[in-house]
Amino acid sequence: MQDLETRLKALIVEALMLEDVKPEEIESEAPLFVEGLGLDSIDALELAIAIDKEFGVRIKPDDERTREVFASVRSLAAFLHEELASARSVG
Amino acid sequence: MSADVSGDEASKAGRWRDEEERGNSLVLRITLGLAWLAGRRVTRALLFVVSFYYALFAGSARRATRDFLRRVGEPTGFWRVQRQLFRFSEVALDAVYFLKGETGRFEFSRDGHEHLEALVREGKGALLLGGHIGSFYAMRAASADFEIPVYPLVHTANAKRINALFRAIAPEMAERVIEIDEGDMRFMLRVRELVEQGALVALLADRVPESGHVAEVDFLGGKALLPTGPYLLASTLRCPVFFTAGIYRAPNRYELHCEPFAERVVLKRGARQEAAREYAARYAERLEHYARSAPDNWFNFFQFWVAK
Repeated sequence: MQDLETRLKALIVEALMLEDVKPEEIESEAPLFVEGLGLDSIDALELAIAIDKEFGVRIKPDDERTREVFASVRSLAAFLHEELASARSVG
Repeated sequence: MSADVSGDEASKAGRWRDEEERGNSLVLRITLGLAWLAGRRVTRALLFVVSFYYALFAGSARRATRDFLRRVGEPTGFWRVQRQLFRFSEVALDAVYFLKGETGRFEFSRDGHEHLEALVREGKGALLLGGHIGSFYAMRAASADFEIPVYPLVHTANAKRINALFRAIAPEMAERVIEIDEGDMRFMLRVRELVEQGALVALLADRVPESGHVAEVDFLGGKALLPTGPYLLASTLRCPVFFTAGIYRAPNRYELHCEPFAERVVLKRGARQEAAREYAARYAERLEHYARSAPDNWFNFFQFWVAK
């Protein structure tokens, strides 16, 4: 989980081209969107595409969990953890 | 203390919105009833009178329209302003007939329709950029002989209005409206899925959001603020973009235009804002072209230019 959070922070900075933010400066529980880092819906989409590429996990619009997924790095990591685990058990 | 005041004002604004919503739905029902029972000719005559009163009493709309007319070299007298408002109401009325699929009473000319047909044939998704010029709904008429999967992407306030209209006349269309909701990112993922599946997502790119990305561009001899969100979105989706306009030529003709705008929107790393501004400037140039070609189709009835 800790590892996922670290990878996510690096991915956020890389995919969203955040020039003045370092990955280690992003707090795991801080809100990512609107407040906090001040990201918007287009950033969310960019991030979703990057997550798809990096982890092979697709965040779906009709999934009820998706509403909360983008809240923070922690919630994203928890979601990814779940998805990766279920992918492993199926595979 | 200040929090109390702003809270109070917010709830007051909420009430106003409710009032407006009720008023709008009443006007909507009356207009729909008339459109069916009295027909287009009688309803147009009535709208002529309504726009006369509107031109008399809506000072800010009148001033904004005069500013626009001056910039395109049109007369700015009372009757010219009234005509602008009348055209707007006519286009709104015709939207009812378009949504019902009653296109027989209109004449259409098409320019660039082959682009849309090619997209549908190849199953390629795209963004369609429109503006508050002419009829947004005439696109619906364009799909009369060709099922074009158009999904409007709209801000919440407009979503309510459009949804009410769709639900009243074309309920199957209501499900296509995608509401921009910055509090729930799912709408954006839906946009991505739709475009991947070959849908055309349409948005109006001439009104700036309450918060978000904007750029100042040249427009009709002045400076105007335009959103850059559409170009950031197109760059993220990596899909082609088209400019569309449904120009109304009274009394019953619509010219449907579709122009390639960008095969891919590319925003260079490190210069994204400037690159997005250039796309907004290109959009402004196309909007200006149509505003000059059909000045009476300009339906932004508020101060569009940045005061100097």
